[in-house]
Amino acid sequence: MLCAAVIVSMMAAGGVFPAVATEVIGQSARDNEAVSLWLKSAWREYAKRFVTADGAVIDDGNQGISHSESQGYGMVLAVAVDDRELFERIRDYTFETLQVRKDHLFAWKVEHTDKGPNVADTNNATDGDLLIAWGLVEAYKSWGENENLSSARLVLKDIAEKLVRDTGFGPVLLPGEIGFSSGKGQEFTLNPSYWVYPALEAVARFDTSANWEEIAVVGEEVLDLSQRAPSYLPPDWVDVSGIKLDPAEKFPLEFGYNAIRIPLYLALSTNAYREKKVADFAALKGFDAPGGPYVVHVVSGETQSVMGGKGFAAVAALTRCMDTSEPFPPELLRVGADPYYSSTLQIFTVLALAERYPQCLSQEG
Amino acid sequence: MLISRRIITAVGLVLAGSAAQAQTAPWDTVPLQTSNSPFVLSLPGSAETPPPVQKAEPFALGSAGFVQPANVQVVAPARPLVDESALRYYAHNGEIGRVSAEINRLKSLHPDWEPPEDIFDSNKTAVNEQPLWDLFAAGKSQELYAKIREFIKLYPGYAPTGELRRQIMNAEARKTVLRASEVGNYPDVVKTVAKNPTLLVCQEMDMIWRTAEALYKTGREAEAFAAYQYILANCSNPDERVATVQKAAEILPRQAVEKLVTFGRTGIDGQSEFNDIFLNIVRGEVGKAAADEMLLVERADLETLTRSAKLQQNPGDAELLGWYYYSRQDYEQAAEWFNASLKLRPSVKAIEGIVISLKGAGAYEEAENLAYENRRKDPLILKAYLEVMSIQILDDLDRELDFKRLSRFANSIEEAESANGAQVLGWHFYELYDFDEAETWFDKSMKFHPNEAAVVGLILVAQRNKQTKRQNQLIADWSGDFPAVEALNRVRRASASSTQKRSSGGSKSYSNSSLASARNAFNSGNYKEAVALLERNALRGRETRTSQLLRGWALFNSGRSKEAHKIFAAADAQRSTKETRQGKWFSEKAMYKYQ
Repeated sequence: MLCAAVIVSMMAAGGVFPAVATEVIGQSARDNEAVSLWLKSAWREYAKRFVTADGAVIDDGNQGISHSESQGYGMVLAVAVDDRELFERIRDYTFETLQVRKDHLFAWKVEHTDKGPNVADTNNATDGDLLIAWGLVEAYKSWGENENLSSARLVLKDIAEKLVRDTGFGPVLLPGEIGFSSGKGQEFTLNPSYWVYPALEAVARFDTSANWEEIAVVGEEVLDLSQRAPSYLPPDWVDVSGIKLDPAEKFPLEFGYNAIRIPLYLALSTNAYREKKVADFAALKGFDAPGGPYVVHVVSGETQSVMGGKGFAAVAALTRCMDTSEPFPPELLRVGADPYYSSTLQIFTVLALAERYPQCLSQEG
Repeated sequence: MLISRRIITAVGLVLAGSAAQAQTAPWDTVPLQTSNSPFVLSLPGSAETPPPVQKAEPFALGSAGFVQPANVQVVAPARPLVDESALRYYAHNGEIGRVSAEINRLKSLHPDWEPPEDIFDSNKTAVNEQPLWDLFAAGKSQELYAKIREFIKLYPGYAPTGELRRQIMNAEARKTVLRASEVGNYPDVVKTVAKNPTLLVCQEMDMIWRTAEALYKTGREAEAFAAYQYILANCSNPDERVATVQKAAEILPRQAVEKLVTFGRTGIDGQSEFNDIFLNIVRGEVGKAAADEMLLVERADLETLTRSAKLQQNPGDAELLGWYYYSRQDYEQAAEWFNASLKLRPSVKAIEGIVISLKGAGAYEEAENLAYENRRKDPLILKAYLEVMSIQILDDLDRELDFKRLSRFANSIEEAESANGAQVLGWHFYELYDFDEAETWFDKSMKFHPNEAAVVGLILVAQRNKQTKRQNQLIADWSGDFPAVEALNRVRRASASSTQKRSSGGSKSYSNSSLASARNAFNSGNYKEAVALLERNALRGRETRTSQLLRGWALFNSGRSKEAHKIFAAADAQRSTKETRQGKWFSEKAMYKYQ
């Protein structure tokens, strides 16, 4: 697996894969009337349930807070369904309320109190920052507003300066500015699901403050090394020291609600090799049949619990369809009941299917 | 084909007729044990009326080889028929003069004729036999016989009339035949039916079947065949006809059965009524051969089955041919037939067949994919998948698996809890010098089912990782179970004794009881051996308190004070004694010092 990653990194560096035309996310979905109708309907429901009049995206499964991640997801989805008005509302709220640090990164957590929003933790969450930058880039691609691109570049520059660290594998993404490195800055706790591959690929075309493509390739390598016997599911968190990688000690030794996004991000990638890795998930525990996915203990391989929610089941179904063309189950297209996180993954899954594997949805389209 | 409905011979009739005369009636003597009757026969219909007229003459013994359609032999009775009705009429009326004149008249017509002795009997008694028929119909034979004896006493000169007598005799004979046939006393079966020839008629199908079997078993094969043939020529019940061929097929040689099959009638569908049964016979033959590769199969049988599979599109026959060719290691033909079967009907067995045929043919990749896709349909397919993977990995242990195949295999191993699959993966990673992965899989394998390959793997991994303590522990734990571990143990001991001098462990006891061995080991200071033996004893689930405490001390003395403490604490909680308290105290002390 290590060899494979190295080969890919060589291929990427050598430019074997030409850059795909920079389509805006959701372009294929927009072109497919049925999918487009579903997405707009799902988005209306999503906006009604999770987006406030001010533009805060609420995580109802998490004491109703907002975070940079939910704001970022909201921005990307708004572009994907071509909802410029709502995109701008979410964007403006994000900048006003969360961009309160001395840099251009975002405080990761906002509580909603009677007296208004309250930033509860000014530490950043790198995936949130990356999602916001991605949303801005997509908005720029879609509507051509330069300010979106320049805002994105400011965020990316700070990610590159503060959160990209060199390791034995190459440059990695630190999950946050504070609390994830130790041992004189040589040991890191990383989160493989913070590598938002489609975001890295998209921003790489508009920003050179870091080698985003290389970071993506290193992310794959981190992922490969984290997938171990007996389950071969990646843990949510890993410890990296030199070229040594292990499930993180400070966190539960689980494949869980973080790592479930990995196959989804891989599927949203425009890189064929990353798409293939999605199919590889289809054979793993909890992915190989309806009923999953599960939170799995990565050391014992035992199932801890079922991830309840259409969004999680949708990710698993996506991997199966990409592996064996198993049609995407129509019941996973129902909206309106799942909480924020599951609903978000559900819409992104349909986006991924519309972009990459429309035949999985053909029964509906 | 024109077959005579009356296959009968003079020899047969004479044999049957004379035998029938020699019998004594069952009511002649009072049976010694009335309760000894094994079962009661139920009789068909109401006994008040005689049985329906038979269309065909009964099957007669000795009739083998006389099936000649155009050559019907109707044989004259042994004695001339004399019309005695007038005579009996006069006798009944007591007109002696007329009786005398009639006797003279009849004698002049039939010089050999003698007047029956009983012509005046009916004049004396008019016996109503209905109660006897009722008892007969109810199958109460002992009561019936008692009643007959009572009638004989009551009405001098009385004897059961012909039809009742015949039916009683047949019922008795039927019982005898059944009894003899059930215990395999075939000569008695033949003897009994010879005395009761009217038993061998279409209405008594079971009797003919049993007779045929008895004939065959007593070396009269040709007559056995004739009995079956009689049924096919004379009896019309379709189910019984099919059953006849089935029964014949159980005992007669194939050629004879095939000849019988030619007596089948052709139905409106143009198929012989015996087509299915013949196919079943062929299926049986091929099925047997598929299970036993030493058995030879007629070429014609394979052709018959091939026709059925191809022309009749019979998926079962296609599958059967698959199994047959599989047993002959003709994997390509086998896979072809299984595929043909699968096209006609979804079948888990056919999928399994394809998988193992592909495996046999060395088409591992195809077998692997098919088996994986269908693994949830049948545990045998999952097993086949694990085997195909294992074969391929073992074939080239250090060839890297691509991630997809690895993850499929890993997930399936967990699902099947396959100790073998897990140890194969363990060795794969061992060969790749990935000892962490190897250890995980060896551990899994041991968890599913302790096995030699996995424990040896664990020992070698421990050695690689320089975990001497773990290595020794594994050897101690498992050397009693697996020869290979015991061999490692000997190597280790030999190298240990060569480097350090040791006191002898005392004379070795080869007691049958592992507990005694454990005690011996303990007493001679071989604590680890004692632990291994005692742990195995504990695993059996019937550990006494004494051996539990001994295990505690053995663990304590082998430096495993934490585990020792656990045992003593548990025993102490159950019943605190001086020993449990001591054990707790010592192990606790050692534990904290050790840690």
